Amino acid sequence: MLTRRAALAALLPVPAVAQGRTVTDMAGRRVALPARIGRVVTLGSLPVLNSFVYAMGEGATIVNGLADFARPHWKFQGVFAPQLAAAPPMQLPTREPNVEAILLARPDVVLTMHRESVELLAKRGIAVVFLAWRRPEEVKACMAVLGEVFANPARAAAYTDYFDRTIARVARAVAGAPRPRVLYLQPDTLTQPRLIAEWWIPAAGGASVTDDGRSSESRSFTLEQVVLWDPDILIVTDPRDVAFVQRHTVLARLRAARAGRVLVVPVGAHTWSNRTAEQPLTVLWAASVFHPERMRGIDLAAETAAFYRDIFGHALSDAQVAEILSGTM
Amino acid sequence: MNASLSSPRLLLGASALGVLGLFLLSFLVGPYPIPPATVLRVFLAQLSLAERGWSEAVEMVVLDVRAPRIAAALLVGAALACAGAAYQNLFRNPLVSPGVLGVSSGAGFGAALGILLGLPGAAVQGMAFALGLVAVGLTVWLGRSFDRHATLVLVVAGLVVSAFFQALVSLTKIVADPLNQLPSITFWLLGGLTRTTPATLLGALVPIAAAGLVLHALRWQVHALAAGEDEARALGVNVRRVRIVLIVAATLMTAAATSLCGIVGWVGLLIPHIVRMLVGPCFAIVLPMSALLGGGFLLGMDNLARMAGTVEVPLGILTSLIGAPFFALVLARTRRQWF
Repeated sequence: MLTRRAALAALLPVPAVAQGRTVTDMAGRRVALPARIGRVVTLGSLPVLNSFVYAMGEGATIVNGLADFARPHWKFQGVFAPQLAAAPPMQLPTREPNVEAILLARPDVVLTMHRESVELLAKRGIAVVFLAWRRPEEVKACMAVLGEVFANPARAAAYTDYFDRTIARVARAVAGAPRPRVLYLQPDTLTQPRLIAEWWIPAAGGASVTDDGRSSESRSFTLEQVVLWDPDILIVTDPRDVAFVQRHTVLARLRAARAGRVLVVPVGAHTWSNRTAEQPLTVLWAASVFHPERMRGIDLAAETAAFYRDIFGHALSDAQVAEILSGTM
Repeated sequence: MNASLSSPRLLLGASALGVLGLFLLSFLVGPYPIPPATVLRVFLAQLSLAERGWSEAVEMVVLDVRAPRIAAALLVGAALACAGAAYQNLFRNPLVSPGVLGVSSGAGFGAALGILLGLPGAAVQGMAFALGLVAVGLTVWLGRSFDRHATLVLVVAGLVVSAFFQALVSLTKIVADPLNQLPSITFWLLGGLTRTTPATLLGALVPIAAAGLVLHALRWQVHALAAGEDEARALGVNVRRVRIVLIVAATLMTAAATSLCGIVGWVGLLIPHIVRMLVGPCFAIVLPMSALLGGGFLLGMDNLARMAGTVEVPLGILTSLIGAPFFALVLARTRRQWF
């Protein structure tokens, strides 16, 4: 199999590398790139990586499609990059790269957050840029690297500027307000599935009940613990979870459920509660539901439309903005 | 016979008292601090024997969080241990567990399929139950088409059917949506009682109780069977009928228990061993003793799961972590032949 792949690789034209253009990725590797990036493959969590590419205004360069399961979840991926609908997926169900498909796609660069994929593809002469997003604000570092990859550092700087301004604006608006106790919950498995929520919940003026300084991505807990927390607000990622909570013998009687504060996270390029370039909007949205009185002056729909127009370079209709904010998958 | 049973009967009574004590203590386990007197008064209040002086949350924790889990742990532990004891008698092999005929794998596939289809909790339980029965049906059919009488063939058929359904489970995991369905399937397969509601509890209680009564009614015939088929026939036991009824009853129990709590291993293998070590091989005593110790063991494990801080360790992991070394210990201490 290996020799067949090697033979296949030898037959394919190698992308032309412009003289002297190298980019240092987040593993400290120097990667040689062509002058103009026209074909990009993203590997790993596609909604996350693609959101970076959209924020660079380069959605049209992505040549790999979403996995079948992901298409209905993130249909706005198809809005921001319509070619994805017909593009083949380039990773296996195990999330390993499909090397033959990637070689055939002749990408100018592969973007990934998986170390193993870096080695696997670099060995075969493919330019791979490694991105890392462990600490919350590393999204800005990712964008800075992409600014170099797409030779457009000004656009990356504009994103970083928007990010900092938005987070600071929200911090000013909610300063001093009592923090509601928030549980970000996957109700059927009783887990808090995303570490990043321990960043955006406090950034929006909330207090996450699951924040115990852990480093693992998800955290599970007992039903009794949920009763003990009895949070003011429950955040879920799927409208069906709201129905699940309302039917549940115990969850339905929590303070949040009785007050109608079981909220569905919006979904755009990615679910806003996950790592995504849309994270400034996550903080804006969360602050507007945690502190409606403090955020009265902010029109969330207008802010959302402006983000996708100015950062992603994509004008959305009012109906599309409403759909994103509803969190419907 | 009565004289030889007097000591086992004493042990049975002592175990019953022990499990009762554990049952009462279990209501005090959990992160929500509720004083014992309040727990008692919550129950008395249900009978209008006490004034309500506590928050709704306290009542919810006692009646809707702790009570269903405690009841489910007792029920599932008892069912798995009884089914294990029955299967071990049937196959005259102490290394047989309730999953031997493929019921766990079948139930696992049923649940995974139900989750994949987006069915609600009770329907997932129903699918697990049904596919558990289908798997055993397949095993029995396969075994009979090779050799109508050899029990060993049945065990091999069980291996084949288990492997087949495990492959189907893997397939559902591959096609499942990794965002929501895959975690649900994984948690289901790890086993746990968090999903228990009064309705799912009742759904499992009916078949388990019915099958338990059948096993109880057949206890002496099953005991005779353990001595060997010819000996049992000489004692007037309809061997074929008893074997079929035994398989049906033990399968019903296991399928109902598994559909309620997912795959919880080692209870059905370990408990009958300990029971025979304590009271000897007589099935008439082994059965109730297995029910008591199985229920008590799983309740103890679930209490550990609930106590282990705010992070819940899935029950199936705990029973394996503790059950496997304990089983090795039991084997090392008793090198006797059981049957």
